[in-house]
Amino acid sequence: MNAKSSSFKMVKPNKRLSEKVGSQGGIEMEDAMERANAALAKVSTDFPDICRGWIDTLNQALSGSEAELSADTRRALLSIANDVRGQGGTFGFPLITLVADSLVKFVDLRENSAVVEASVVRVHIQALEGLVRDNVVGVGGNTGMELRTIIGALAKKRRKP
Amino acid sequence: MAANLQRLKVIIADDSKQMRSVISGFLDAVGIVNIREAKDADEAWNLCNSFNPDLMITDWNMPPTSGVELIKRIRTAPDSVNRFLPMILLTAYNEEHRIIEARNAGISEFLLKPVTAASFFDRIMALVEDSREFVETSTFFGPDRRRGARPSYSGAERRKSR
Repeated sequence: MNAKSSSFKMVKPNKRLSEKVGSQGGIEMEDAMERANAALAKVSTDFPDICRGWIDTLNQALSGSEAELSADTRRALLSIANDVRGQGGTFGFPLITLVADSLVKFVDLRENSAVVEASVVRVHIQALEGLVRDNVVGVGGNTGMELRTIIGALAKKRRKP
Repeated sequence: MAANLQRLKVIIADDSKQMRSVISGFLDAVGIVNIREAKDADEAWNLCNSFNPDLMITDWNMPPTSGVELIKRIRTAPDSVNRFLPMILLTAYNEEHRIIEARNAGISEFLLKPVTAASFFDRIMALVEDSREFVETSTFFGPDRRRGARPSYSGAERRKSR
């Protein structure tokens, strides 16, 4: 037995979540889903305004970058784009998640070793601006199809490290 | 018969007010009302000490300290009040290296954004049913990262022999 394995120990948790959960009297899942979706719908109305704020922050992070983006700029863009990616679909805007996901994959240094030009980021920001301005919810019909084609074509410019 | 979750005490740590509202609404929908919200990792850490939660749901990306750092602290700090706290990491980071980093920090469950009520409830119930033991090594403390039986595995079962 080597030194590494000898420092290994299995430990039983001192309490389990199940100990505080009753087997009766809970809310039926169908009712819970209905209530949860109503709560989500209530919060979703604020999303377009929040997204406009993120777009401003993306533009600020990009400002001054004319050609190849620095590692610092890429990291700053990544953090914001990741928030947009997570919240878009949560609040009923899956195309915003699609665009933000593409942007994340471009600027993440662990996911893309190719040079990233500012123009590529601008294309993403413009797409986000359009989706928010036109309030494109759901899959987005023709707009959605066109966007998927553009995102697919852009993906060829990335290179896995 | 539906599981009764009403006695659970939950912390939500997220720098986004909207996401905290969403998660709070989801929890309320299943009858969990004993909820505290934190907008950063330090606030969540302090709440862990004062509120004694049964469960924490944390975002990853919440500067200055990430949710992953918070999880590591709860799992390994000498002054942590509950190193076994069940924790769900709720994040949009879906890249493989991120998932590995999160698992190595000691998360209990990983939940990807965009989040839906169904995916959220699924993770909560997975935690309620979680019977895994914790693993302690010189570099890791957290729930056993190996899940389920692996019928094709033919090597030595080192953990069973202990």
